[in-house]
Amino acid sequence: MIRVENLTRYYGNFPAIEDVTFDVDKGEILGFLGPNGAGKSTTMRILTCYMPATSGKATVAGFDVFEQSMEVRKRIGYLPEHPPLYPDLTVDTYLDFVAKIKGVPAQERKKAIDDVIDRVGLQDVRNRTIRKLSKGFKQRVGLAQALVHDPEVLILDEPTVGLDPKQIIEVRELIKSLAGRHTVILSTHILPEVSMTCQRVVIIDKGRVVAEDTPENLSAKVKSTERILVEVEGPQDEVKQKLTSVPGVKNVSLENANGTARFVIDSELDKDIRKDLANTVVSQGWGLLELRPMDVSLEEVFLRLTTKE
Amino acid sequence: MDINNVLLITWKEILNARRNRWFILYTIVFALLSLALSWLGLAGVGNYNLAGFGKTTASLINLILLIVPLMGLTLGAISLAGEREKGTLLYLLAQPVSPFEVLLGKFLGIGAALLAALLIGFGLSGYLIALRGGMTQIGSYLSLIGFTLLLALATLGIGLLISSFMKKAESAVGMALFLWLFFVFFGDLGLIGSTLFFKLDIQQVLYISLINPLQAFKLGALMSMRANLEVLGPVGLYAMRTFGAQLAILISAVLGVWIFSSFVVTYAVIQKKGGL
Repeated sequence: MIRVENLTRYYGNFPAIEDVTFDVDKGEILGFLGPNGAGKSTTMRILTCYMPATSGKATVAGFDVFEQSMEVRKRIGYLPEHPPLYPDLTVDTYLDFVAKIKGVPAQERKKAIDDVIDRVGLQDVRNRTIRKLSKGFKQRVGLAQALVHDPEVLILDEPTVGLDPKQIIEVRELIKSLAGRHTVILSTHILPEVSMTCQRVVIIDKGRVVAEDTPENLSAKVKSTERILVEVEGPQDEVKQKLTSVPGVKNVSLENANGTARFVIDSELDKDIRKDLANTVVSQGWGLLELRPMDVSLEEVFLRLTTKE
Repeated sequence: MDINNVLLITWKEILNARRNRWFILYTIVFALLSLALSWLGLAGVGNYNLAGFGKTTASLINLILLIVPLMGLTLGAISLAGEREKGTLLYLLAQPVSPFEVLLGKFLGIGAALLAALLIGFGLSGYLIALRGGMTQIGSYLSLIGFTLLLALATLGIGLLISSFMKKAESAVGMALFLWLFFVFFGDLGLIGSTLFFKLDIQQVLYISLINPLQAFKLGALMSMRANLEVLGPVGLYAMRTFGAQLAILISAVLGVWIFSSFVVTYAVIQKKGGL
């Protein structure tokens, strides 16, 4: 659905992005991650026809972003980090304007606006002037304008910024529900959000793609040890000493001590020592409260890929 | 060009203008001042049907020369720069509409709202004069309205041009105010200074003064009121003698060229700069 090939954009002599290449399949939700200034916004702006690239190629729904930009524009819904709102218009009038400019046929327009207002929870404020809305509601109006024409492709830049926890959960559920029907690129700094909603992740750093895979595969790729969490009821120092002596264990660290002791154990890759750990704890007569493998979190993957020199 | 897109953006601009506090303020100030001037113009003679529209037209010219360029320049200046600042210009230019449709829609929308604001003022004054002073010289009043609308669109075009270069609405308004001061005050002084310094002949003075849209408006408005321009001295007499009745067309054309050329340059800038 989206194909980006060797996309490069220079601002003067400075390359904002260089040779960026990735694909997004139809109906997929792709997490687009990177530190500030990595080139995420530039890539998204090129894909949404906000600005041209210096070189490279990008297609959306089979249409070239540069040669057939009018076709691409009709098929994309874009929520930038700061939603582009007209503060003097009411929510209804603004969405009507967006629906018209996106080419929603007159006979379908009212239903399209009613539907999107229901989906993002704007029923109570639809006749209010946008200027008078809270930040959370403004963010929802921004989301509504991206969805109102039921686009094939949605590009969302920090869609949950400014929302309260309940609204964040609602918006995440909404984004998840878009999978299958819409192709979504989601850019956010909230990495658990990506783990929860995205099937695949592209990480960009200093203008270049440094990783592209599923969150699980990325974790597997970057991990240098197997990691196991063990919670034990017993004397902390003694437990730590015994766990360290299990063959294959490289490091044992105490995570917290709250009556019980939680240990994070790093062991050699591709060696399953869970049975040995369990036996060690039980044979000493200590209580084994929990024992489970830990994945490398997306935060760790992100940090390892974007901070290494 | 898709006319529906142009009309959609025009409609959006008119809706915006209805809630724009500058716009509302300008409309009220212009209406009140033109009403006040009309009232003063009628004082003493209005009851005898001697004043009519002629006297009021004369007093309105100075008000128009001050306020209408201020309205056109600042509303134009706020327009593109304000949208650029909010990010909505970038958004608008990324929709399935061309930059030409966006610019034309904005010009027509703000232009229509500006003309409506002026017509409210002219309408109220006209009603008052007709009620108290009769219909004498209504033709000159209608000509004044015509030239004013052209002046409003010309200064709006210049305002939009300023706006197309600027990233912030505040800077654009500052630039617009500077240009307004230049047109209103320094334009006259500069012309007098240049005439003396370069020893310009009467023909050169006329053509240079026509470059200033405010001077062009003043010539047109005075001509429509008095049918001759001796009040402007030798330059006015020369203009009347050379162009006669065609002078009104020439002045309209000068203001038209301002509207057209500022629109074309603004379009070129928008195409080059985009919404950033």
